[in-house]
Amino acid sequence: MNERPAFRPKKSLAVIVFCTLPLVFEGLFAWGQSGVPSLDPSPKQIVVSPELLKDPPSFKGSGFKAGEAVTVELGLPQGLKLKGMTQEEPWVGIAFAKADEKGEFQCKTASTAILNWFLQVDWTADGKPDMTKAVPLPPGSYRVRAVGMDSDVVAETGLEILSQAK
Amino acid sequence: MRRTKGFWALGVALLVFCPLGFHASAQERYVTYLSLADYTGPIAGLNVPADSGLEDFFKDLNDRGGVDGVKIKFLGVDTRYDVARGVSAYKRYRTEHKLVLVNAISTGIGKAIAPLTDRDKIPQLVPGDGEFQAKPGRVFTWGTCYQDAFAATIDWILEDWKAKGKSGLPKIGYISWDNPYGREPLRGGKEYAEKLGVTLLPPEFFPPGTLDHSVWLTRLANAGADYIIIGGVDPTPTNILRDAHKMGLTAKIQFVDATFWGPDETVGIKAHPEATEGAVICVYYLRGKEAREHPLAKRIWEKYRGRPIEEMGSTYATGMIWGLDLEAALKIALKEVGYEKLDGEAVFRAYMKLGGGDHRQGLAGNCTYGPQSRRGSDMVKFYRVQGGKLVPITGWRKAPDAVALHKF
Repeated sequence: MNERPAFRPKKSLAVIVFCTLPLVFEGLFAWGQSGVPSLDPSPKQIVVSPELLKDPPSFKGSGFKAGEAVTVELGLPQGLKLKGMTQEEPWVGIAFAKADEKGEFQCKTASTAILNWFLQVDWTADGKPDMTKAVPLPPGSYRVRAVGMDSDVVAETGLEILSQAK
Repeated sequence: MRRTKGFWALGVALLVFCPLGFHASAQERYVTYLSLADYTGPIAGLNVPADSGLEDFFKDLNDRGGVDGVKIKFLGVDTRYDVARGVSAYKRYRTEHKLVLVNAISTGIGKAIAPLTDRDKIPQLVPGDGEFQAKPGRVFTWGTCYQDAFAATIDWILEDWKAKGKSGLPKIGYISWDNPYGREPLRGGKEYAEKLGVTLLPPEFFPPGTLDHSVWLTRLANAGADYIIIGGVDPTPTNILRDAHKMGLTAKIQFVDATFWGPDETVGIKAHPEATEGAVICVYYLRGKEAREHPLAKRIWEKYRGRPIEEMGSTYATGMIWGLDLEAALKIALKEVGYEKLDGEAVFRAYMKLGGGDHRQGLAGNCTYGPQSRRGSDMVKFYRVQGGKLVPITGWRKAPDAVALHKF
């Protein structure tokens, strides 16, 4: 009868959870304040064609240092060497923005980036993009990341490149 | 033509792979120069010769033992004139061994990386962005600021108008790329025109890579332009002239390139000699025969290129101005801090002491870097395309300070 009550794991767990709840809430609050780095491409699936020049992919991001420069970069699968780039470079910048006072940014892919990196055109001696020499990026699942130039904060997500409709 | 193309293609390949070409031993004392360049994009026609000239200059300097034994490693990155690529490339290469100077080939890249080079305390070069003169930091313009050259061009236009016996003032149009470079000349240039009472027509901007400029040219012609100031990097200015020529406008309107990168004998003039004939170009560096016959440019071309001198693009010599500046700055910085302490900060301080020196050997009008000056030069010169050649029509002349007229 004098035995100590048996250890009750369920009750102990409840006590621990209850005691740590304030810390969890505080953590969540702080998390919301600074912002989890995020990157949201629009659209998330693209077809690489000259149509992209009319409606370029855009990007939204958050969780960066207020006012810092942010580059959006496309991850290149091993073995894919873009025109004008040495193979050792695994990422190529495709968009550029400045984070606002909340650490958020929005940007569109510039036409030069679409021509140079997505379509991989040549440029003629007349300074025109030569679509006949274009080598569009192959379809597949790519990674894109936003990198804060001051903070080194990185937000990464996927971008699907679909085959051209036949 | 095919041989020439192949020659420059080889040049491109050498530039792209140049990091592999510089072998620095563990004991070798060297600094790194980073060029955020365009070797295969829309402005490659002028940038490839410029960086080839610079790389050859560094080779020659290194062969002669460098600057007090310190050699210069040339690191060229092909951004294809893309800002995002330029910024990410800077981030990638900013930790290279003793990176002491970064050159951004485009105004857009220059503006984008300026806060980063400032943070890293590395001096930076940009083409002609007057904003950096208005707010002096670590960024220096190669030569005269774009708005100052634009103002000097207005002065030349007024002289030309008067010389033709015309009364009143001419109407002036402006057409250039729709990007930071294209808009920069008006940030001070517009105020200068207003100050003189000159009618500057609404500017026309078009995207780089535009195939046909007729729409914009038609608007300017219909608005009564007597002169049209054109921008873009050759072959773009040539393409504007080509379209204007087709429309019969070059016979009625005088076209003047105000921002240094107009038709070159090896690019646009060669491709469209009739359309470019009579066009006038404002520059801060030697062009045409004057550039080809410059003793330094000629010697280095013959040493490293071994091709007929006629194939030398004007900007081959221009690239050497960057090299001459860096050589002079390294001499100062090494004397002041020695190799071990040599860094971007020391080279930045040295750049501010270059003004008034004759180290540019006449490749540019002068050098005006100083404690309060980030301008590479305040002089310009005018050339006219005559018989397929760039012929000087003025000597060096001081450009007005149009930067001071704009609120940045």
